[in-house]
Amino acid sequence: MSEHRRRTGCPVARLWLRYGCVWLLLMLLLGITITTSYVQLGGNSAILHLGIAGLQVLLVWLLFMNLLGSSTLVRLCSIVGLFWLSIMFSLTFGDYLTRAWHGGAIGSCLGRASMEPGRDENAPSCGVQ
Amino acid sequence: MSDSSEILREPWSSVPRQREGVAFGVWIFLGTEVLFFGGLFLSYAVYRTLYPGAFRIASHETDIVYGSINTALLLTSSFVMTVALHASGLGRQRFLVFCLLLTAGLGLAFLAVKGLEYADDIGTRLVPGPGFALDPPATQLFFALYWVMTGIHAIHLAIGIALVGGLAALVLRGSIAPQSPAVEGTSLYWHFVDSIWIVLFALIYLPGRP
Amino acid sequence: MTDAAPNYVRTSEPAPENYLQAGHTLISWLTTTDHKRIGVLYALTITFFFFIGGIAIGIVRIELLTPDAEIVSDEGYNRLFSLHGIVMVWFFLVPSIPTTFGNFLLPLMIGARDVAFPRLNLLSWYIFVFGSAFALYMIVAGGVDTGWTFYTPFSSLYSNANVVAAACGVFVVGFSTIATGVNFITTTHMLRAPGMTWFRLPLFVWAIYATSIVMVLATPVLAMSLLLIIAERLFGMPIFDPTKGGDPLLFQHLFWFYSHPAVYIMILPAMGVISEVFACFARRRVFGYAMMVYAMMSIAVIGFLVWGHHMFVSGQSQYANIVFSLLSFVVAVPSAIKVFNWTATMYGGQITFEAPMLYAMGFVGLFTIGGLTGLYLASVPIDVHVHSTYFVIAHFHYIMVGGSVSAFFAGLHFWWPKITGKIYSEAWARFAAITMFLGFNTTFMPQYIMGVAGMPRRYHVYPPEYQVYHVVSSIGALILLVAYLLPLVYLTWSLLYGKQAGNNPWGATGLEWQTGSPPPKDNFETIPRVDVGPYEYHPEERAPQAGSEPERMQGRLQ
Repeated sequence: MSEHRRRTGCPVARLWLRYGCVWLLLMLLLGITITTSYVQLGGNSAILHLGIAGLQVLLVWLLFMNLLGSSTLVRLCSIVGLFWLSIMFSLTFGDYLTRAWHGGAIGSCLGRASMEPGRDENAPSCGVQ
Repeated sequence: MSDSSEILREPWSSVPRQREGVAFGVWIFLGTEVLFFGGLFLSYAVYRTLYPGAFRIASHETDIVYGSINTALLLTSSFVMTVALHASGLGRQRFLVFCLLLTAGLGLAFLAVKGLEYADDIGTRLVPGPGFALDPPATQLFFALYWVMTGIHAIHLAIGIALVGGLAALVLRGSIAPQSPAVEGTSLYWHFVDSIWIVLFALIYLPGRP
Repeated sequence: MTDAAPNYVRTSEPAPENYLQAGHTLISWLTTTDHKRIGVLYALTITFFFFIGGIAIGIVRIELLTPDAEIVSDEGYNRLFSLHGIVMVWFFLVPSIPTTFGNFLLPLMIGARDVAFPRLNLLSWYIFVFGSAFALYMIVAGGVDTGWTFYTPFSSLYSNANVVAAACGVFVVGFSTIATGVNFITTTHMLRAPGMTWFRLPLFVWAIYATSIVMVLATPVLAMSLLLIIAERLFGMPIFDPTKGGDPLLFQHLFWFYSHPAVYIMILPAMGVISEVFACFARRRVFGYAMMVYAMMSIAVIGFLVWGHHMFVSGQSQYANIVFSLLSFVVAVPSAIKVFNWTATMYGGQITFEAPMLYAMGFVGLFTIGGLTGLYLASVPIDVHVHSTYFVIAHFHYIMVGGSVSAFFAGLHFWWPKITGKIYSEAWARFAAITMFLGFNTTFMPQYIMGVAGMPRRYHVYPPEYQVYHVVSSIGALILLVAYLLPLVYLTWSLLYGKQAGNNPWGATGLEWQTGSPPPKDNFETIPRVDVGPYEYHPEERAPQAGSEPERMQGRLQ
């Protein structure tokens, strides 16, 4: 144990240094995402901020949770939940996004005017065609 | 060196195998948590797609200062927790306990800040109900999800703090070895709770700023 | 098949004490981490709830004898069928085979001494008991009237019943399921005996593994959907409230994302049991082992893609309907493959008709009928006609009761000698099996017919033209009651007075039969080495001979 220490220097300091760099990167990303939230980006803001969040989560998972150094089984396990979530999202949005297609009456009245600030003209047509 | 006899449990045949098993088991559990919070994320995504304007108005009312401080606290706690895990691997008992307590402390700081934020939110009538402050009704959907998402996250964090604190106590007392797989299991859970917050921050505090 | 079977425990020393003898106090049972004892604890709990759920539906079937409301009010009737559904699904069927036979047999079948996390296993039972407390409170306080499906906004805003208590009970019990799933997956991956490769695992192990994957991925979403109901109801948080823009269908998406895979949680373990029983009592390898594995894994995965078929008439998009309908037809294919393979397993076999085999044969027929009617329901135009009628009720009872419960009884009789070390009365068991089959069909076949004829579900007042079907159905329920009570009697009798079972009374090939009946506390004296597949009943390329011993047992003989 002490022989190892003589060869490689204080292991504790190296720990702080190595993971401190990751921490610095995370804080940097946090700063970027906060400042860009004040910039008018329209619909792209969600993609940007969620993208940065995704990057931060990736850093935490790969480096703090050591997925990079884990077995294939554990790595597979870590993405299974996300994959199943994508099933849930895609089929559910498959319903919501297609409800108003081709004059579909049922359910297309969601998102109508009274729920959105002052936008009568945007309300999808309700009622039977 | 690790005293294998006090770490090894039935029915495992070797400590490395047991470690692998604990990590695997905890990751499966974290997969379930992804789907648990995923239900909330789906609800948020559906309503934000249906009511983008209302969600922007509502999100603007959240306090980004509190949110940013909390995110910084949790990111730092994850950093400290990682160092703790490596301290465990090195068998450094006192250092491990220090790091665990620091992690738990940062977690408690998060909860304190959250408490202040909640008090503020109640004061500015951001609780859905008859006295709600904002205008299109769908803003209440945003805030219902806000309270539920941050509330459930806070409960998970509180459980994490209890686990980390309990672990620190057990290691300090010598009831479990510093190299115990329990440290890795707890560490994985803690980082996961942090990851959830990272996503929540982007969903709750960042839209509607301009 | 009984006394002639050789005893493979070779000891000249006194036999190790079995798991039942290791500690006689109540405390030793309540603090056990032995997977076999935990399996027994679960068995007691689910049996209790089976009869609670049965009593509820007994009252319902009595009420349904006449077209008018005779013994319960509308509100009371709503609470009775809700109680039946909630208790039967979450407190009986979902746990049934996995927590009893899964817990008991998984380590034995793979050659391990216990599951990966024994203390988590015990915790999972205590979580289950905690959830049961909520359920019992809910029952005593008058139940819920939302149906087991808890649809919003009725459940979250308008119901006057104990929705929060019920939701809490199911929420808590869900975590028991998740803990069990985590344990079983880790155990299967990491604790297999030397030589026990994935494709030498018994199909029951594969079934439990597939079930566990579904459990861990689906149950959290149920937990969240119930939590959102509680948030809306108890804390006034609008999530599904239409007046704030909320969509009640969002609840249905979340609920059915779990509840459709949940039905696969309820059937996959049953399929595993049936494979074991068929192989043993036809003295044949299971036909198409690899396809059976792929079929079970496909069912587990594709089962997550079909939930919208519960929402065909809910207001969901027509395009989503088309997609879900197509996927629902696809998911039937692996199940059909399994039915063909079970049938082919019997071909060229030396079939005997012990009670487990009778239950298993009943399973195949009833599951097939239930499965075919599922295809009817997967077709949108037909579903529009029969949605929310007795056709649906009959469909899922053919699978859940005709399928899963039959398989549960098959497993109960097959492994009873292993678990208890006793032999039951074969004559009474066969009588009960046949009675169950006849009673079941009498109960549920009329329900298909009246469903197509328009009898809605969840109604206790109905037009008089349906009465004849209801009367036949209720008579069938009475026959079923007898069939369910009989095992209670003769199995208990066997515990007290039954003959001692040897290690392997059926001459089966699995690892669990290579150790004592009941097994010793640590399962095996020495961990076995495995060098053959699980169903070596006969030499390859040659049909089994009547009365012959298996060609090779799994696990070496030393």
